[in-house]
This record gives sequence, structure tokens and C-alpha cells, in this order.
Amino acid sequence: MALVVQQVNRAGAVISTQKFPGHRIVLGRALDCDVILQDPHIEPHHLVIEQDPVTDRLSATDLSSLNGSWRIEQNRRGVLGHKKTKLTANSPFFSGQVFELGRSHVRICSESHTVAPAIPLSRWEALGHRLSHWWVYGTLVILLIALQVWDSYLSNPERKKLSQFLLSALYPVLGAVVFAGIWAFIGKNIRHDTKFSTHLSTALAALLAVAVFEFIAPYWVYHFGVWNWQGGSVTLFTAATVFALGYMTLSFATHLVGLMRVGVAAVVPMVLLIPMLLEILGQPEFNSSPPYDRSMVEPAMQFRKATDVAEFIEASEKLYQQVSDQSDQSIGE
Amino acid sequence: MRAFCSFPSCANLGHFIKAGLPLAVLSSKTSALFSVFLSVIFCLAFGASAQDSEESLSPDKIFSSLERSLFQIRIIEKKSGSQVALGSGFLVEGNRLATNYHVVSSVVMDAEKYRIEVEVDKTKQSLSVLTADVVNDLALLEFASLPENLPPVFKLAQNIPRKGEVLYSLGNPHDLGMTIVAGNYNGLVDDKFLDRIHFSGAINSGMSGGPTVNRRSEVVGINVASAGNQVGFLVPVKALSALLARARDLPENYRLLEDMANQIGNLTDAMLEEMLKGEWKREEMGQVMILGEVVAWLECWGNSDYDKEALTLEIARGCNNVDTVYVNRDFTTGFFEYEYYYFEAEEWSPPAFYRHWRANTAGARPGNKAGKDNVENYSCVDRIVTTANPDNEKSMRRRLSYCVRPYKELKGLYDVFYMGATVDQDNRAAMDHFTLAGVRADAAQRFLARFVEVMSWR
Repeated sequence: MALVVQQVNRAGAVISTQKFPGHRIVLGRALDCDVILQDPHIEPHHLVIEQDPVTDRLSATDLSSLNGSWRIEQNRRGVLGHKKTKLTANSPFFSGQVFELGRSHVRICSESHTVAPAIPLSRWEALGHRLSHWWVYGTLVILLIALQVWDSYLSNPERKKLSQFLLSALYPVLGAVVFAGIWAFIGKNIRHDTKFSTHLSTALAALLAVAVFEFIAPYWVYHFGVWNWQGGSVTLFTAATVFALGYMTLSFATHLVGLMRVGVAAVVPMVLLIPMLLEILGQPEFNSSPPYDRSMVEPAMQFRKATDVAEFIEASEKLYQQVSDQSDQSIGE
Repeated sequence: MRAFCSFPSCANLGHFIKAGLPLAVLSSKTSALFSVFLSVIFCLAFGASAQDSEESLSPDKIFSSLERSLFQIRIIEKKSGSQVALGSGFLVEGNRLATNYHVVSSVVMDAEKYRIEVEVDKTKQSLSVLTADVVNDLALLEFASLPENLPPVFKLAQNIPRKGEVLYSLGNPHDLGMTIVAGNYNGLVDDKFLDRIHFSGAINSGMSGGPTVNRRSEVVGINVASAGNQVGFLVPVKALSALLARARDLPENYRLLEDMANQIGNLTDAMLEEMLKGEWKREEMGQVMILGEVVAWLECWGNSDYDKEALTLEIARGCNNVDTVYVNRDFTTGFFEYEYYYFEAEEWSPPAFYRHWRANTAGARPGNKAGKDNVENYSCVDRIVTTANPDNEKSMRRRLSYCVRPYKELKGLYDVFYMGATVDQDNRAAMDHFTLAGVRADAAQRFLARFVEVMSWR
């Protein structure tokens, strides 16, 4: 027979666990107590826990403390609620009950208290570990900055100095650092696991993926002729990347599994996609602007075959027949 | 085209005349100030003509003899029963009313919604559109039931006036009452495909469709547009004579919209024919050869910009016609334009250059106005094409796009839009473009086949 005392935080997460042989333990600040708590709002001798040696039933007695001892209501999964009731002498309770003494929380269990089975290690765990190496995020930072500088030169080639491009390249890196910081904090609280450098690498990799995609989009649009999807495809790819980033980050920083993780990771991508969907749905039937091919890349990157003028003229002649058929159809509707 | 619209000529010149065109006005309360302004103009005009007496009639005689044959034409919106537009009209052969097409265009295009009304001897008469010449902006209206005691019809002049001859324009400006305005005949407007008389007199909104007569009370033209400051435009009377002749034997199954489509098609065919007939002189622009001026009735403009900081050179040139055909409030046609744009940036890397070239060529739009009731959406053909050079070995690789949209009511007509952009040089590129509005397929194709071969590297 033994009693187990766990110090827990306000969220119900365990801070420390101690096991005591015997049927009776005293909690308080006094040095002769079994469990010594560092909390000025706790009496030197505050609370006594007893277990009936025959029936194994647990009971608690408050030793007339100034601030009292309180039973905290909790749900099935051990998450603490807001409701609490004051203890009187010899109050019976079940194993796993959390008490509030002063500003501290303790959970009392009998040694036969059932413990949840192990949470399977995320399959991303090994990857997360690999991503946390300094050279991984170091390389990613350098690549991202280089790509951003090149991209901002291509958009503003009239600027002459490197320093004019550097500033805009630093913002995404700064964003990744803030992102990693926030998730490290969340992870520390939920999983006691900061993983700052893993979060940083994931965020940088996602930013790099989107930047690379935006960079190459004009080239494949020019060659595969889906010009009007250039904007849409970048949005789609960004949404997919954000989803992947969210999914990985949640698996590194929280205990969410399965559909819950997918659902939470999908929130931000959905927000990104909604304007695009609205645009597709709300497209006006009539458009005075001709939907001609707007794609274009430099000569060195062109692999599209050219035709001759005669073929072009022939194709444009067929266009008249085609539009007349369409217009007859729309009248028939 | 973003680059082009920075040039005022491109955006505005084409609409210079058109701005004054719908002289049929929305009815409005005229300000006292405006009335004073008008009366000043009239006093001066009468003063001038009083000294100038020949065998012909004086203005007061002309006005009193013609007053009863002039009518104010009101366009009534059927559901509200209120007038939405006003114009003038006059009685011609066969007891029909002649007026401008643009006065009654809303009735022609949407007969469900609008009707025409005039007052004869204080009783309201309703009319329908018998036929129209949309190209010359004329319409003939027919009474639903012929009123009794109709006044005499206007006589049409057989001779062209002499330059400087005094003419009198009649109509109802700004709903102020029937008015006579003196002015001078100044010949036909230069460099226009369609004949228009330049009349130096104050034509104002509401006078549209009214006649302008000589001192023998014969109609020489029909008021059609104004550019302000005593610059007015008239349709020569011969267009009305032709329309009256055609109206004498209209076929049984006559359909006005079909006829209008035909008129516009004949006009644009003739315009394209004239453009294709001439020799196409090629001119230098940056490192390319382009088409210069082809016909006098296309106004050409141009501009260039050298940026010393970025070391870039932009040149733009273009031509378009000023006298477009008004079909309805948001639908004009008969508009032709061709434009060239040259861009050079020696210092830029090719990817940077092409990122800009892509943006510069992404916003091209046709220059004419048409809404969803009038036209379908554009459909396009896009190709990468290599064209040979007539002068040297330097062939040109271009991305060519050709877009077509058919007209809805005006069957057989199309708006066509062409643009080509070179994609073969690292640091320089050129774009050629044209819009032809209200054309038939054959004529447009002949123009395309010739135009596409013009641009080449120097």
C-alpha cells in the first residue's frame, strides 16, 4: 500500500510525482510534513490524506487552514474545471482527485490508479529531430534570403544596391523566427518540449517551398498553357504548404492526433482558399477583357515550339466558326 | 494597355467628338444663368444676319414658316411613364419624322422598355421607328395613326451650300422651346471617313435630329453633334435623301436590326478596303520596323520615355479613328485602332526584363465600348509564331493572340482583338496590337494576314 502525490499545474499537467509507503501523509510547509510545498499561502500543517487499510478508501482532512483546502472538479480526461468545493473533516474522495491548497494543486492517487497507455511516438519525431540541426536551418535561411534577394531584383531591376533588396529578404526569416518562438512556447506548455529549432526549420522550409513555386510558376505556365491558373495555382500550393506546416507543427507541439490534427491544421489553409473560391463562384458572366495568353519567359528558358503565320491565321479563321456555335448555343438555352 | 493610356491622345482623342454626340438629353431643369447665356448668343446671331439680306427669307420668316413642322421627340420609359431622353425631329416626305438614330436608339435596342412620343396640336401621338441609317445617325419615324391637319413637310436642298453661307439650325435645346440658331457652313470636316458638315453655330443638347436649313428654308443637314464653342456637326442631307429613297420600298419582312448590321458591316468593309488598298509604308521605332500612317481618317499619336536611372527606353505609337458608330448608350462600334509599343532595358538580366515585359503586355484591352446585352465574351487563339523578315535574315519569334467576340443582335459582326509580343531578344521587345470593332470575318482576316507580317527587327 502506498499513496502517490503529484504536483500539477493549472492545466492539470504533472510537474512532479512522489510515492509514499503507508496509509497517512501530511501536506504543508513544515519540515516534518511528508510532502513539503513551497507556497506561502499554505499552512505549516495543511492537509492530511488517509487510506483505510481494509477498504482502501481515501479521505482528506483539512487541518483548520487559513485559506482552506478545496476539491477541484475535473473532467474524465483529468482537465481541471472551475468549480471547487471546500473540504471538511474526513471527506472521502476517489483516487486521482486534485486539491487546491493555497495557490498550489496536488493530485492524490492510490498506487492501483490506472495510468493511460503510452502515446505512440509521432512518425515525424525522427524528422523533427533531424530538422533541429543548426546546419539545416542555417542552410534554409541562406537559401531563403538568396531567393528573396534574387526575386526582389527581378521585380525591381532598376535598383542598383544589394542593401536595397536585403531588407525585404529579412522579413520572411524574421517571421519564421517569431513563428518558431510561439510554437516553442505552446509546445513547452503542452508537451514540455520546446523544439524551437525544429519549428524554425519547418517554417523556413515552407516559406522556401512557396517562394520556389512562385518563382517557377511562370515557366511551367508558359510551357503548359494554363495561364489563367497562374494566380490560382500559387494560392493552391501556398494553402497546401501551410497545411503541411500546420500538421507538422501540431505534431511537434501538441498531443492532437488523427482527424483533430488534420482539422486544426486545415483552418488557416481554408481561410486562404475562401477568397479564391468566392472569386471563382462570383465571376461575372460577361467580361469585356479578352482572355488571351499572358505568359512570357526569357528566350533562354523557352522550349515551346513555334508555328508559322499560316497556321496561326488558319486557327484564327476557325475561331469565327467556334464563337458563332457558342453564341447559337447560348441563344438556344 | 497600361503603357498607352499614359498618352492623353490615346484615351481622349477618340472620344472628343463622341463626348458631344448624344445631344438628346436627359430632361433637366435649366438654370437661369444658362438661359441668359443662350439669349446672348441669339442676340448676336440675329444682329449679324439682319445686315446680310439677299433674295432669300429673313430668319423670322423662316422660323414662322417652319415652326409647325418641327417636333420635340420624347423617349418615354413605359413603366414609369416619364421621359428619359429628348431630341428634335422634322416632318419629311410621306408625313414621316426625320431625326437622329441616337435620339431613338433606346427604342430600337429595347422596344419593350421605351416608346416614342411627340405632341401635334397639343395632343400626344405615338410613333415607331420605320427605318434607320445607323452609320449616318439618321432615323425615320412613322405615326401610329396619322394625325389630321399635318403641317407641310420640309423640302430638302439639292445643292451644296457655299463655304461661309449662313444657315439656320432648328431644334429644342435643353427643353427650352423651339429655337432657331444662325451659323455658317464651313464645308465637310477634314479627314473623316464619313461626311460631316462643320457648322459654326451653337448646337446644344436636345437639338439632335433637328434640321439645319439654308435661307430658302431647304434642309442642308441634320444636327448631330457638337464639340462646344460654336463647333457643330451636321449629317449632310444627301444621307437623308438616300434613306427616304430606301424607305419608299422596304421589303415586307424588313428587320431593322438586320439592316443595321448590314450597314455597319458595309461601312467597316469599306474602311478596311481603303486601308488595305494603300501601300503600307514601314517606319522605324526603336529596333523594330512598324506600320506608319495608312489613311488620313486614322489619327496617329506617339510618345517615348527614356529613364536615365533605370536605363530603359519605352516608345509607343498608335492610330485610331475618331468617327465611331453609336449604337446605344453603352455600345459603340466601327472603332479601329492599331498600336505599337517598344521596350528596351540594356542593363537588365533577361529574367528581370521578361518579368516586366510580361506585366507590360498583360493588360491589353480593346478600345471600344460594348456591354453584355450587345456582345458575347471574347474567345482567343494563342500561338508562338516565327515570322520572316522582308528586309534581312532576322526572323522574329512572337507570342500572337487573336480574340473574337460575336455581336448578339447585330448578326454577322464581330469585335476582333489582336496582339503580338516578341519573345526572342534578351533586352528588347516590341508589341503590336489592333482592335477592329463591328467587322465581318472576311475583311478582318484579310487585315490580320497583312498586319501580322508588318513588324520585324531592323
